[in-house]
Amino acid sequence: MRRDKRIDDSADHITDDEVIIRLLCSPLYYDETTGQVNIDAFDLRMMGRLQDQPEHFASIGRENKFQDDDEKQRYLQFGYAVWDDKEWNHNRYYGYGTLLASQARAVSRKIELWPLVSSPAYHAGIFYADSDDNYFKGPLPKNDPEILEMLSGLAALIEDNIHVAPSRDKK
Amino acid sequence: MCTYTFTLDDNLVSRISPQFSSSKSMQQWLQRELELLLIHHAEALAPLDKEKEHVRLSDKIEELRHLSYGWDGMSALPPSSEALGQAMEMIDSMPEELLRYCALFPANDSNVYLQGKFPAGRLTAYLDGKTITYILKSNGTTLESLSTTVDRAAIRHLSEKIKVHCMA
Repeated sequence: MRRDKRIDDSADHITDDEVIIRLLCSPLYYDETTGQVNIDAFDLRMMGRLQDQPEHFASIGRENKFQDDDEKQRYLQFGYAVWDDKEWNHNRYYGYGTLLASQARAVSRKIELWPLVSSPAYHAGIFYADSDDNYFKGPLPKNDPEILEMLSGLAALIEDNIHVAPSRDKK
Repeated sequence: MCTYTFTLDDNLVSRISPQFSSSKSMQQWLQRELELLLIHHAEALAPLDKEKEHVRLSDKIEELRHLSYGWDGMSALPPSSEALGQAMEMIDSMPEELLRYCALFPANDSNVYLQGKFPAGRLTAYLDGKTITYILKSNGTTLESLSTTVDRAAIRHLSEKIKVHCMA
């Protein structure tokens, strides 16, 4: 049973061969010295701005929903949009990493991938089912080794496929 | 290793290496080559800069100490002083040869991650200020997965495991 009202049950599942894109919205999500991704980049977050309707998911993009490269670049600019305009500067957003949906699912049986109602064309989420077949509300209990291993596996998947953020000037 | 001893004279030099006009010029050339070889060996055998990686990660801890609420652009909490102290204890006790593969990251719940991407393995450690929860993998196989208190013995045990299984 899914608890969150904003997840579309009727939408198609994300297929295994889809390329999904994880925006790394903070420079603290990537270490350039060692090429490692902060595993919290895949932790559940409350992304909804309204407190009575929070969304709990790790937000990712769906590459095959972009009609052309310009559309993809517009999606990647969302990395900047996370930050308040007053605080904005080029150092705030590092970039993104890509992986296959099947690879994400293979990391843990807890992982499910769904389109999101708010923007199904390009927006999806990774959800984590708990033992009662419900979904965790973020943040996840990272002192549970099984959860830690799941997050670590997701971060490792994209470490070899990191891309520098596109310039905001292209917006 | 084999050792050859022979005497250089002009006749021998002209037969084995005609570009040298005399045994003296060949000796000079050999001397220079030997000096270069010794310099290369000295560089290769020089001890690692024992502080370099420790300083890099200590600087990172100082950087994390100044994070504020919302460092991820949402609602992440800054790392606690307890978690940062635990991270410092870890890097103080881990050998330099392992630290060069390690990175420190803030967690969104006021804790800290120590992550290591070694030549043949991976460490993911979550430090909450009291305990460490970590996963150690070697070539895709999980070697250890546990929660424990942090002390020097535990860090030494972890470091030895990394050296044996993740550095090959």
